[in-house]
Amino acid sequence: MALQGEEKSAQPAALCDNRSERARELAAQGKKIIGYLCGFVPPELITAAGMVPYRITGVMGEPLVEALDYFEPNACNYVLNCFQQAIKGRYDFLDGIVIPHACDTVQRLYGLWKFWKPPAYAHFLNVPTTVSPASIRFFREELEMLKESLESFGGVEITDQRLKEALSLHNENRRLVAELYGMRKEHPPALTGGEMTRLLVAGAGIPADEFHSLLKEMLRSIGGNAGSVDEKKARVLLYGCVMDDAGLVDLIEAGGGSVVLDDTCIGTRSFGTAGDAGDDPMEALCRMYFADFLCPKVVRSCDEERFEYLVQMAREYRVKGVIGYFMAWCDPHKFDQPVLRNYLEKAGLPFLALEDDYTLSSSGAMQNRVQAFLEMLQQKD
Amino acid sequence: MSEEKSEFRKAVRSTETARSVNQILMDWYSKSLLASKEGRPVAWCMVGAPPEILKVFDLDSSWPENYGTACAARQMAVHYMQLAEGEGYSPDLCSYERNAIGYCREYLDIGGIPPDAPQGGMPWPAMLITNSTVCDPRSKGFQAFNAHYLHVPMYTMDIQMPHYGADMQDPKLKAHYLRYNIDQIWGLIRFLEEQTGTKLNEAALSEAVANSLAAQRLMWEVHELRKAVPSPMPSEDQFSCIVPMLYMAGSREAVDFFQKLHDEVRNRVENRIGVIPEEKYRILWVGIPPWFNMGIFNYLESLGAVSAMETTYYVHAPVADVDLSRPVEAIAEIGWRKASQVHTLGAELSTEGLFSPGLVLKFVREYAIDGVIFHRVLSCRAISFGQAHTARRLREELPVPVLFLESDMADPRTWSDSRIKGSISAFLDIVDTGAGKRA
Repeated sequence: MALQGEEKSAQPAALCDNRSERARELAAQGKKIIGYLCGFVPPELITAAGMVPYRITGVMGEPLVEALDYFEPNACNYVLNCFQQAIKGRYDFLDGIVIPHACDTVQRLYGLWKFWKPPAYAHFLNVPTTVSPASIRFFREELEMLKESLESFGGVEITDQRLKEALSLHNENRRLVAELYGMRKEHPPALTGGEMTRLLVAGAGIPADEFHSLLKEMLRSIGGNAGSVDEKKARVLLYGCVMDDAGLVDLIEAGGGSVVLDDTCIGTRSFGTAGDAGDDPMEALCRMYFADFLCPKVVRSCDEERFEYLVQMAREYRVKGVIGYFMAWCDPHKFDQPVLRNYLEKAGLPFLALEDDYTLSSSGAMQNRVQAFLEMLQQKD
Repeated sequence: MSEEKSEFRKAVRSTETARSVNQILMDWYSKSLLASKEGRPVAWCMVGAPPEILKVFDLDSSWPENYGTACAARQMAVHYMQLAEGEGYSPDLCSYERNAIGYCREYLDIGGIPPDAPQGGMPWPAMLITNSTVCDPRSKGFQAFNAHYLHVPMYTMDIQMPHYGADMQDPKLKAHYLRYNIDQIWGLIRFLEEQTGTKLNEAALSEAVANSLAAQRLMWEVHELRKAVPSPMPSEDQFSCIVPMLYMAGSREAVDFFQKLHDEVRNRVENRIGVIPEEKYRILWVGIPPWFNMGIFNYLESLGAVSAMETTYYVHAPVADVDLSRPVEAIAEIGWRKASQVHTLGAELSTEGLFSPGLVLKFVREYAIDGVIFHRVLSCRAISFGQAHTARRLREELPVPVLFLESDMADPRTWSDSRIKGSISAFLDIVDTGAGKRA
């Protein structure tokens, strides 16, 4: 019998709330745990090396204190928060870190983490700023260097066969995630945005095979049941950078919205494209984690049509409006914001931009704005 | 309005050569305006685009980053930034970029160069040339105002360097980076060939790169001379030299300018001519200056403190023995060697600019520095981010007092005059009595 309501989301929610617990257990058993940040790092390479990829997150809402002894406050508070966890020893279970050149702040995080809390293993993955045949080749060489360094650290050879197996496992997870996303095209959706967020955050902290089981269990528990979300709720797409906490999604859903789709780093941006390993698994990783990975850090073109994919996604999921979550001091996303707004509004998609410092501390004011926006969407019918 | 605040002052410079920059700047802006009037293309460029290559293509250029400094100095930046903010660009984004965005908005609104635009304004560009060095806003800002207003061809030259802990002696690593960076420079050349309809003259480019290296060597020698006590040339003079240093690189005029500066500074050292009659304290300035209030350096001088050295803008040791017969490869090689210098000094913050804590430590020792002022520039994360780390390292290794001033490079709304001057006064009291005081 399929589980209902709170039951189906209890396990992901528990894993999300105590997301390092499983990684700590595995570390105690002698498994090597490699922390990584952002969507440019392929966890497949870590899995293929016999280690556990663990997505580094912050603790949303925790005041910045210790981090400010090392970092300026006028930098992405999410990155500072992650560093604060490291300084406080909360990432001491990690054997190593892989940090990409995802933005100015993340780039500096690598140096400062390595300087002040040197892990046994640290690797920097450089990421080009434009997409071209040369930059794809450059990124592939970066991946080759990451592979070599993981082999050296782990004392294993990452053969093509091992990599294909890892890719296949992660692809299967991507396929199951896509299936779950697909269930949210219906109205009411089969699972809430909060449930989906917790599931993805939980999955980014456990081995890929365990995430696979979790996804299967979630699909089994939903079965053919229709969702229980209030049918009157306005369907929205949540756009933004990193979303490693369900707080904002809960706030929107409590306020009369239903987050049926996202374009965020731990959401569709990381699960949107499954790679066909074919004969060349590194080429597949290169495509998934760079050429097709739509992070605003990479300048693809100056045409506003670069946001057309969002409009298409919104139509597919019958979304009425878009809520954007922008982190204070985030250059890559904030430079895009006005052009994005214009493009969405021209396409008939109202847009609400929320700014935050990774605390949701102004959630009262935020809630009022969200509610007003959702009421406006509901009146559009 | 902030523009009307009486506390903002232009700097009174010490050297005659630095004072001559005003005319150079005016001529330089006039040149691109004339080109536009005569129907020739003008490119808007971001620092990091090699001026040597633009020169060889005889392409006139305007630099929104520099225009941000010009608008700030003439108290016009707030006007443009407010227009950008009205368009939805956040006040925490780079103030140079916000200034350029507001300028574009006003240009479109009135159908031409705004009549009160500083330096006669920037002519509407035929193309954009940007790059990815140092910070994200270089590429993202240009993408934004091109998408929003300009809609002209754009090339982003993506130059990459290895990060903290990399072995810069590893030939495989070097080949990986240089192959990519050379491709990117050739990409710029192909873009310019297409836009201008002319072919690259490699011999002319070799000559331009040689000029660039000569100017950088002279600038370096000026920095060496600045170790003298009393200080012969303060930071405000060096900051005023950014036009010949950054934008006129590759020209004979830039070499002549730095030769003149070098001769003047050497003469001042030989004759013990200091910035002020009685130099009590020597300051190291870390970060970009507040262009809207360069008079702050004169304020320091009024209290007996001279900013004797700074960490921003071309403080690399000169690069020598580069094969200039293949100038594109030479440009990439020069970039690599500069990054290698950063790695030598400690690249935990960045490999692309000299924000290295090791550089700050080196300068404190070599320039007999009594106190370090960190200018925390709110809208420039790339330069400011890591200053706390640097100060922490400094505290651990040298007993030199440190002051953090918080404002911006082009946004005067961030400036609190009484607070900043109060901080400076208290800081100099500590410098006067502290362990870092010179014998």
